[in-house]
Amino acid sequence: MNLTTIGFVFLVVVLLAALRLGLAAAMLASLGATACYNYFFLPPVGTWTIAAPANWVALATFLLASVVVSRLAAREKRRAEDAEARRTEMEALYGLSIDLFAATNRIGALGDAAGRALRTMGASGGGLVLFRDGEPEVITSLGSGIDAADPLLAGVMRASEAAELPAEGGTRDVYLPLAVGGRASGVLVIRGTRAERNALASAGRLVALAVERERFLAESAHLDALKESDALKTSLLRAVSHDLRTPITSIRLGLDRLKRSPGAAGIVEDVARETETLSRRIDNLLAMARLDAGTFVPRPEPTPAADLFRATLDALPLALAGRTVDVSVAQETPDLLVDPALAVEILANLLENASRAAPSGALALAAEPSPRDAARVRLDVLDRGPGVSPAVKRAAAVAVPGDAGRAGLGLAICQALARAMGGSIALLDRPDGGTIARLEVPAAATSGDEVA
Amino acid sequence: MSRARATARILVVDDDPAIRRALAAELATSGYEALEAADGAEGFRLFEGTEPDLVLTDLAMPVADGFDLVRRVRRAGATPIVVLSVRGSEADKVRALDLGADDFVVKPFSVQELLARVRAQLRRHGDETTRGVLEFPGLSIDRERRRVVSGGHEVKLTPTELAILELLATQAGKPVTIRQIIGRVWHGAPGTSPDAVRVHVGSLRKKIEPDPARPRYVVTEPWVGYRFVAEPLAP
Repeated sequence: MNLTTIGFVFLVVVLLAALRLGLAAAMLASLGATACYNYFFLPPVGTWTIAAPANWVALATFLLASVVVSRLAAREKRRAEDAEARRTEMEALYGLSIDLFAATNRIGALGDAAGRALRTMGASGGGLVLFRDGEPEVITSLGSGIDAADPLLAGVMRASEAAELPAEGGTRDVYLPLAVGGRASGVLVIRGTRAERNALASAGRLVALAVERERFLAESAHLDALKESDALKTSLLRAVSHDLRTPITSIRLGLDRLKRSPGAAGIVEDVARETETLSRRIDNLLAMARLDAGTFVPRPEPTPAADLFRATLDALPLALAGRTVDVSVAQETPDLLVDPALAVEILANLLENASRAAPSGALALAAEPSPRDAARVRLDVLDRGPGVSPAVKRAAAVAVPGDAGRAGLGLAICQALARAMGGSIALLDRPDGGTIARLEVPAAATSGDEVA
Repeated sequence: MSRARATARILVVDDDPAIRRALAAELATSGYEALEAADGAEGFRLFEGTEPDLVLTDLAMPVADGFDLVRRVRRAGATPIVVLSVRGSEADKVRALDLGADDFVVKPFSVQELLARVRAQLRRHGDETTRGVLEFPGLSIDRERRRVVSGGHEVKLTPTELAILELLATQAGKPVTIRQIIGRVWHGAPGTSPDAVRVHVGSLRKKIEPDPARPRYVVTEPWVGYRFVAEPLAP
């Protein structure tokens, strides 16, 4: 064997040491190999002396080569180990995600989810804290566990940034904020882990998703319950509405018939008028009940003021019997964007109030664009009564039935109905005597272009 | 349907016996022959057996509701149908009209209101008008010469306005849905919006109504469409 071959054999030994045992061992092997090379093979053999200057060069080159080989090999080894570790972590995270989303897809499974995450990260303990309205709530606590009063929890939560503390045996305690976009909802504490930061962050994201999902599950359960209760309210109101109106219908039909029998006219007239009022009160109450139940959604559509006035007069045939009602619509009045049934109900209430407040004299309905706001229209109900009492004015202003009695209650209902469709009601003194009950509602967008 | 009867025969279908009795009594007083049924199924049996001239039916009934009855009566022929609906159930109203009902009254209604609707439907049905000139108090529509005279003055209508007016006036008393107007006047042209209909009806009303504050001819039926309310003059 010549000297070159021997040198290569030594290099192979160094390489194996690097791959097997890492950089330190490989360096040691390099020095050992250099020494052996000198002692056993470079002449004069069996001594540490080197005779020929060329052999000094050979020995130095060998040492250099073996060091380079050790470093390269050791780096490869480390990379392989890293890759292996990451593969293991990926596998663990994949397993965790399956676990979290298959096994814990129900409300109340968050503790279980956090436990799975801790085990996957090789933790010795830790837990999950959620913050609700700023207050920490420990969902689960394992091993050495967590203390809700730990100030680091609140700090991590506030900063939405992870924190790490060194722990026993070269491990770390890691505090991970749980956030899916936006603000953190809690903190996952992983104690005594050796896992990579990236893996920890991934585990944290998975638990954060589980937290979000739990929130959605809870919300949708709540919504389902609400929907059910709404459906119940709606069908209840439908039934009540039918049940209340059916007897009124037959009473009216009966009265219409009685009216024609001799001698009964006066009394029947009174009963009929009261029935008309009762019927409208029921309409009011039902509309209020619907608004209150949240199941009633006004359906505005462009409506000419004249049609509303006409329907309003039709709704009060008996209350207005023998009364004059002047109707005027200013030339440039746009259509109104209102729920027609609601608007008629409000106007009928206001007009009926007016006819009670002013038993004689002409009543009037008037529409004009609001001078203050081009996008609104004024619908005025005018009478020549005694004007507005301060109590009723107050009631109208705050829309609460106060000491204003019947008018106050009717007004409160009208206010609520008006508000539901973006309108408002005001009671004003009429300049030359009497009252103006003013309903202001949105105007429909004027589509000026003629559509062919 | 037989037109030989001297008095019109009206079928009343309502599950509430008090209303049914009251309606039947009123109709009889007004000179109609009234038949009563308590639900849609019985109503249709009576309809087939007696061939009434008009059907008056409630919509909400526990057994075989009014919608089903409307559908079956309409399939059998052109007998006018007036439905009784309850306030707050506008969707029911439109659905019944779409199924072929001719008109509706809303509970609680007065006898006068109901009788007016019944009269209008019977007249409309007996006289599916094809006349060239439609005459109403204060308004005449000459369909052949395409001339409209309101309050003694000729008014100039655009072709669209005239088409809408003719459609409404030939069905005087009957609610015409926006969808029907788009179908008949625009021939269902896709993209025709309810707003376009409103614009044309608005300008039509400006031209023919003598007092815009008190419309006499064309009124809005909320959420449904329009109704021509004037009664035609006898030819």
